[in-house]
Amino acid sequence: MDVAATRAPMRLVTGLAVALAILAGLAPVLPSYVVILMTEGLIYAIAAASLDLLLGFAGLPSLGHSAFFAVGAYTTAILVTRHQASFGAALAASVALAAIVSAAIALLVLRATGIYFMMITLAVALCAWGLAYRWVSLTGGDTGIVGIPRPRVPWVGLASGTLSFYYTVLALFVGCLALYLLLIWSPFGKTLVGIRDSESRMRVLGYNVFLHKAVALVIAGAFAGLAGSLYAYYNGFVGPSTVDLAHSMQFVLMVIVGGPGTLVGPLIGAFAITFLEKMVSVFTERWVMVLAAAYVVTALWAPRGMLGLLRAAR
Amino acid sequence: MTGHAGDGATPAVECEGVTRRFGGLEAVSQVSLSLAAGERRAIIGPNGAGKTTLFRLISGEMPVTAGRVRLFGRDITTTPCHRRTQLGLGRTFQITNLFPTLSVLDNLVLAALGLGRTKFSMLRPLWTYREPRARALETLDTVGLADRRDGIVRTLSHGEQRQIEMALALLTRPRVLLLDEPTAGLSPAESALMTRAIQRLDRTITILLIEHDMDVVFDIVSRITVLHLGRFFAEGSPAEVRQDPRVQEIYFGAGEVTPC
Repeated sequence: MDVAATRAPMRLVTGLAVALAILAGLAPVLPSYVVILMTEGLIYAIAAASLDLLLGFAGLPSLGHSAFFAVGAYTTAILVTRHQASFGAALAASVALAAIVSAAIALLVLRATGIYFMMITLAVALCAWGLAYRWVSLTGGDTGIVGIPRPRVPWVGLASGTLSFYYTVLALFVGCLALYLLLIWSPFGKTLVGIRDSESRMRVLGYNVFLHKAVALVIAGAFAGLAGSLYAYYNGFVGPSTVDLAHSMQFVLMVIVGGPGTLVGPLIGAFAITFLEKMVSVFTERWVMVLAAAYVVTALWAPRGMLGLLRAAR
Repeated sequence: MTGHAGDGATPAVECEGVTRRFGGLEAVSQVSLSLAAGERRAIIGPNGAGKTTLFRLISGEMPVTAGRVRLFGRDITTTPCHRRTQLGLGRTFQITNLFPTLSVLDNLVLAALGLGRTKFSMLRPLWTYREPRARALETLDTVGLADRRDGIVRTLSHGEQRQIEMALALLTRPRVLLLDEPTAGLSPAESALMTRAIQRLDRTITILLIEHDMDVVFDIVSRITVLHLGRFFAEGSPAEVRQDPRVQEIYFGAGEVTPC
C-alpha cells in the first residue's frame, strides 16, 4: 500500500464530506424554492459526473448522453404511471435498461473516434428525441407522460415534501459519488485515462481498448439512467422536451464549465448551470444565449473549467 | 503450446509473403522473414522502405492485405494487437508514445497492469495493489529514473521519455521485442547508453530492430535485413551488408558523377 498516494484522495474525501454536510444541514433553513433547485442540481450532477467518465477520463466526447437520461426518465414514467411500480423497482429497471441500451449503442458508436464519434453520438441523441416524439403509443408523443407521483421510500414513507424528496435524492447522490470515486481510483479508472492519452500504446501494452471503452459507456449510461429516473420523479412530467438535444449539450457544458477529468468539477458545473439557468430565466427568455456565452468564456479563459481556475488561483 | 525461446526448431517470428496495400501503393510487398528464437536482427532501408509498416503488421496494429505472420509457430495473422502482446510480443515506437498527462510511475503501473486481470478491477483503489506497483518501481530503478517517478511525463526530457518508452515495453514481459528506432533524437552519449541497455537485455528475448544509426546496428545485431520500396532487398551479416554495393546504391544513389 502506497501511503503517499492516499493523501490527495483523502483531502478530496474530506472536502466532499464537508460540502455534503453543508448541503444536508442547510436545506431545512433554506427557502423551499432553493431546495427544489438544489434537488435538480443533485440530479444533474449525477448525470454530468457520469458524462465526465467518458468525456474527461476516457476521452470520449459523447453528445448523446441525453439518450440514456431519456431511457431512465421514460422507463420510470411508464412503470410508475401505468404499472404502479415501486420506487426501488422503477430505479432498478431504469438503470438496467439504460445500461442495456448503452451497451447496444456502444457497439455502434465505438466504431468511430474523434469528431466522427461526436457526430454519431449526436445522431443517437436526435434518435432518442425522435422516438420520444413519434413513438406515441409508448411515450405519449408530444403530450409526454404526466402525473408521476413522488416516490414512496422505505423507512421514510411518501417523499412528497420538498425536503424529504431532497434528502432521498441526496442519499442516492452520495451513493453514486462513492461509486464514482472508487471507479476513478481503481485500476479500471486508470486504464480509461490511459486510453484518453494514447489508445495505440494501450493496445500494445495488452489492453482490449474497445472492451474498456464499451464498459465505460455502459457504466456511464447506467448512471445517466438513474439520473433520468430521479428527474422523472422530480419533474412529475416527462416529454420530448426533457430529452432534447439541448439537454445533451447542457450535460457537456456542465462537464466543460466545471472542469473535465476532475469528477468534482462537473458536480460544481451542474449546480452552477442549474442555478444560473433559473436566475437568468427570471430576467430574460434568451437563456440559451447566456449559456453559450458562459461556454465561450470558459473555452477562452478557463479551458480547464472552474476547478482548473480555482487550482490556478491557489 | 510450449514454444519457449531457445528451443531452436520453431522460429520466434516468421513472416510469409506479408503484404500491405494502401489504395494503389504497396507499402510492404511480399516480405518473408524468419527470426530464430534469441536472434537479434536489424531491419534497415531508406525512408519509405516499409520498415515501420512491417512492424505494425507484425504487432497487429494494422491488418495485413496478404500473407501470414507466425509467433513461435503459432499463426497470429488475424490475432488482435492486444492478444499478441499477451502472447509475448512487445514493441516500442519511433515517435515517443506515452501517457503524457500521467506521472512516470503511473505510466509504468499501466504497463504492469496490461497482462493481468487486475486491470478490470473497479471497486478497489489502485494504490492498494502491491504487485504492479512493485514491478513498476523495480523497472524504474533499472532504467535509472527512480528520482523522476512523480514527474509528469510531458515535462520530461526527450532522452528520459525514450527510456520510459523502453521500460513500458519491458514491463509486458516480451519474448519478442520490436524496437522502432530506440535512439531516435538522442544525443551520441544518450544513444550509447541506450545501445548498452539493449545489449544487456535478457539474451532469450528475440529482438527485431529498426535503426538508422549503423554504429548502433553493428553493436547490437548479428544479422541485417534490408528493405527497399516495400520489398525484401538483401540479407546478411553486418559486414556483408555493409560491403554490398547494391545496398550502398539504394542509400547513396548510383556511382558516377555526371559532369555539368
